[in-house]
Amino acid sequence: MIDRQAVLEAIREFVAAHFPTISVDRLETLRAGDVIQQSLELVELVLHLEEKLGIEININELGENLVVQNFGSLADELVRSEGKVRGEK
Amino acid sequence: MKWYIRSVYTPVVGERWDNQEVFARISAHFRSKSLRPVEEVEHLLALIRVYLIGARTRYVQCPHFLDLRSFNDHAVAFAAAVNDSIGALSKEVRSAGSEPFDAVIGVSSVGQLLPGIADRLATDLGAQVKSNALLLDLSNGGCTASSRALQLASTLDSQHRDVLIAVVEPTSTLADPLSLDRPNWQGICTFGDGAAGIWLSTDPTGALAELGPINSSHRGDADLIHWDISSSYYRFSVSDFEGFDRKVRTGILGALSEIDWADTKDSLWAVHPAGMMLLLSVAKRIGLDRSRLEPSIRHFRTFSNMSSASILHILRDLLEQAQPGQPVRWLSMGAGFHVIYGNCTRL
Repeated sequence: MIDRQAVLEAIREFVAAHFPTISVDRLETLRAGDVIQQSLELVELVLHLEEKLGIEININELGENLVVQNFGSLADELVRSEGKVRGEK
Repeated sequence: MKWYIRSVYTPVVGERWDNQEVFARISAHFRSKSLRPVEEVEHLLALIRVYLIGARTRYVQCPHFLDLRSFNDHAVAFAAAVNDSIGALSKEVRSAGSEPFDAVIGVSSVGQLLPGIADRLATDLGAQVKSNALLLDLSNGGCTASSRALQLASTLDSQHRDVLIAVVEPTSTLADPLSLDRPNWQGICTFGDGAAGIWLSTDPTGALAELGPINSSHRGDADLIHWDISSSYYRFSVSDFEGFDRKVRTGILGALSEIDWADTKDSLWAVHPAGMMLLLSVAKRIGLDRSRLEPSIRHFRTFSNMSSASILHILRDLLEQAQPGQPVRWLSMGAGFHVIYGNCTRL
């Protein structure tokens, strides 16, 4: 099971490195779609999370959550979907 | 018998649309049709926005694809796009000149409703194709269709000295505009239309590259990428939408473990641009850094995924920049689930 805080920390690290002008103080309330405007950056975020958390992420599964939800909800979604994957194995 | 790449043809067909234009047209289409249920449509539009995020363009041969309603609409659009591609290819082949071809192979990732793609191109090319040439269409080959044709051509015997492979990929004609099926829209947003060709010869005179072995592996998951049948036509679909990326990545890595592939620091790489996520994640896992993936990323940003035409466009770019003796490798993957690895050496 991945930890929600670990997901948020990995996102924080990515945002700080790629979008230094954006404050990460209230990361959970930021909408991913407002921060990420390029597909390459979106994919890089996903690859970063895969590497940091040791999981495999499917863009189709996260779907529209990737751009319409805030990072807090995205972290919840990732924890939920990873739990589901582990349950299936 | 050695085979050489004498020329690669990469005509550009269709209208250029960027992601924003595609999204605007799809949004307007959904709203004008008042599709139900509304909540599902809004979620689908949000997903489409994910697929269309960022700066990317594609070429569209069927600009009215959101108006396709009947089998007749699709078939007419397919025939028009293929004829357009054949015209563009024959113009480029004629202008470049060639030895008379002993074989012409017409290729598409999709089913070919228009009979005789090779025959039509041969007719257009006149004396550039021998009257007794082998003319063959290879259809439903998925995104590895052009690589399958290369694999096939490289096994032909010495009666065939000059082989032309012609690739037509009018992917927009598959669109099912009234469906809320997510894979259908994944396909529409990922694909672009395209055409390409390649001249293989046993004669090295003036050749761009010497062709090496082409290896393939199929992973026994024929339904992972398949056609769904709509009320009037067929459309792109996948068997496990939510697990698609994961299965494709696993399939590619599994195939590569069976394929005799190699890498050297000086080699250039073309990777089929199935999508940005797959492109980057597969490259990362096989140890290709970003700079070596740049030609494939650049292609995807301009043309999107032109199915099996893409790998030939990237290959041509790489052969233009390669130094004599430099290896050029390519990796394509698609329905089957099928993976092909090929390589050649710039002359």
